[in-house]
Amino acid sequence: MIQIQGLYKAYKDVVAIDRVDCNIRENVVTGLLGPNGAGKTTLVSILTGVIKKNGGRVAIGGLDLDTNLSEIQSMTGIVPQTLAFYPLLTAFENLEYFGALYGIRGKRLRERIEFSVDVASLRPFLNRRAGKFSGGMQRRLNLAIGLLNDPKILYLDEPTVGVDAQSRQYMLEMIRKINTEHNTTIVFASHYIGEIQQISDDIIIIDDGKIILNERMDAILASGAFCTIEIDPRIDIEKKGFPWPDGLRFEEGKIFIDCDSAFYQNIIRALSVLRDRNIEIKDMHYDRDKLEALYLRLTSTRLRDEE
Amino acid sequence: MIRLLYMIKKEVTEIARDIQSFLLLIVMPAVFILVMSLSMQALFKPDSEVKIRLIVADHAMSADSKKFIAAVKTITNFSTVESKAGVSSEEISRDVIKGEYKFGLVINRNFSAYIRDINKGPGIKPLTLYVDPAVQMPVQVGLKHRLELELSRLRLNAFFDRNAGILAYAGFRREAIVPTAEGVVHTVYVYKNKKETIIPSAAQQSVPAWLVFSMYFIVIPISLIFHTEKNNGTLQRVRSINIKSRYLIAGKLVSYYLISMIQVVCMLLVGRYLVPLLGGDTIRFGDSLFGLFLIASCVGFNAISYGLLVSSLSKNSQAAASVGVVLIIIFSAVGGIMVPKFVMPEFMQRIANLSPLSWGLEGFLDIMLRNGTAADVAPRCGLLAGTGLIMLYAYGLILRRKTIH
Repeated sequence: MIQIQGLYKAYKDVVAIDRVDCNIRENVVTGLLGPNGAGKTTLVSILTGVIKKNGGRVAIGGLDLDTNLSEIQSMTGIVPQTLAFYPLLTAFENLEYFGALYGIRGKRLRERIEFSVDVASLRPFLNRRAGKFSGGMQRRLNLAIGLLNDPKILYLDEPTVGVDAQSRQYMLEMIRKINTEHNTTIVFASHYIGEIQQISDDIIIIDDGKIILNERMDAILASGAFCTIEIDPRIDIEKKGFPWPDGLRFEEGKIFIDCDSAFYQNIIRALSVLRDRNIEIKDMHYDRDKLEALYLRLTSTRLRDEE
Repeated sequence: MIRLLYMIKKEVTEIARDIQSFLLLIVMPAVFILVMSLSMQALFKPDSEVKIRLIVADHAMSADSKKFIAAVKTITNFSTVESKAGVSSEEISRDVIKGEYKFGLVINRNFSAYIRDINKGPGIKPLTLYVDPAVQMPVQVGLKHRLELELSRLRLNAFFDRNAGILAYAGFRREAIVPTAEGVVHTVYVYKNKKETIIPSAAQQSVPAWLVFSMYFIVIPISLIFHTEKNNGTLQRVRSINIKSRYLIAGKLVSYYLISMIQVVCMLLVGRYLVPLLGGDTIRFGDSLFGLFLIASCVGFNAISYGLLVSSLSKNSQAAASVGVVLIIIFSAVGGIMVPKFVMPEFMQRIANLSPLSWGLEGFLDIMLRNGTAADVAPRCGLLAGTGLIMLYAYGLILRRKTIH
């Protein structure tokens, strides 16, 4: 859907995007993960035509960004990091205004507002001023505006910043629903690893303006242990005739169960064998930090506050 | 076109719902015009009830000094109080210092000698006037001239009394030579296109100045909205919808123009109907409503362009508002809004002619005071529109640079 070749952007002497190559697949959710100042917002801004690139080539849906900006923008929706609406206007007035700017009129505009309002679950608050909304409602309105033009590609830049767990979960579910029900290609930029892991089909990790990982999420998660069962390290489980199918490994008192198609079967099998042989389980944990560990290894742990 | 209408609706709704902007653009200037018109009324009204307090000490204690005090008591705009006998000059001076009186007049002992001897020269000072330094020079000059007139009248009358026979024989008539208190200068107000004479009122003279001043305060809501849009990402969102800069500029320009015209109408209605309700004089709109519309439109356009340019050049709304307002105050002071241009030195008047606020003020005065027509204000409108276009063009360039990096 989106092909990026040698993309380059600098602000005076500061390189924001450093000759980036990557592809974003159609109809999937691509998580764009990176620390603060990594270049996520700059990349999204270039792809939406808000800022100009200094070099490279971008093709979106087969259209060149330089020569087909209007067409690309008409099939693009954006949910910026900031609450990009007018607090003195009501939710309806905001939706009507941005809908009109998209060139949507009459019955179609009403339909699109209805759809966006339902997705964002804002129907009871349509006539309330947006500035009086709670943080979660404001984030949902921000999302609703991005859906007005029925975009083929939706860019979400840190869309859940500052919202409570319930609103965050609701928004993530809605975003996934938009992707599956409307075949919308979604680029989801965030520095929340859990969110990215939960929602993304593909993942791009960006740091210092460079893409350091562009991979499918299932491939990343399947590439190592996912569940770990700890037993007494003095027990040599191999001597006890433990069956080792693919996806199960034993190292120094730990059984690692890979995340693959037999993941759940392997967990049940391991637990059954341990119970049958009276081997005490000292600890068992799901390795949910797999992506985080990978992310920190790739991007290093230094703070980015002053960059 | 529909996009433009929605942009206008959005901008107008935002300002209408922002209580601070409403107060700033409509209520504050209305109160200002009301206060200034009512307070300055006395300066322009010959029969004003407002009196400046003057105390007189008679050290001459003569028939001439009594006559003089009686004449001083007839001076309009002054409330004259005669001190007790024996009050010293120092005591009079202290009364002025304490602020009880703005002026203290001491009739010196040589007063009668001065009145009776026509040959007493300029070295003689029969009167001493103690003045509060806070009193403005025109008021001081006005009182001094009036005291000298009364002194001359008394002196000439005394001269005629002593030499009545000879002067009558020589053909001199007292009533022809002794000046009257009313004076002999016939005042005619000169209007560009008016048949009858109208005496200008305080409201008539102050409303245009404060109206122009207030119109430029649109810089504050413009900068607030501009920086809010820039910081909260709505400007970027609008850019991502592929809205051209010219639409954005047109949307803002038309919206603020409408607000500016509402402001003008409100101010003029306050001057016309509210000021007289509170005891002030009403204002006239002049003979050319089209001329009034033209100059108001050009001032509005210039003020909006100024507001947009200042907003785009500033880092944040606070900087835009403070720099914008300070510049307005400077341009107002220079442009004759606060101090009339005609009292300025020549080089300051030349500088004043460079201020857009001065062009606007003179344009409004042309229509509302001098009964000018649209043709009379056309050159000033040209200047306002021309500089407005330059500022708008610069704003457009900066907007492009700031939103498309």
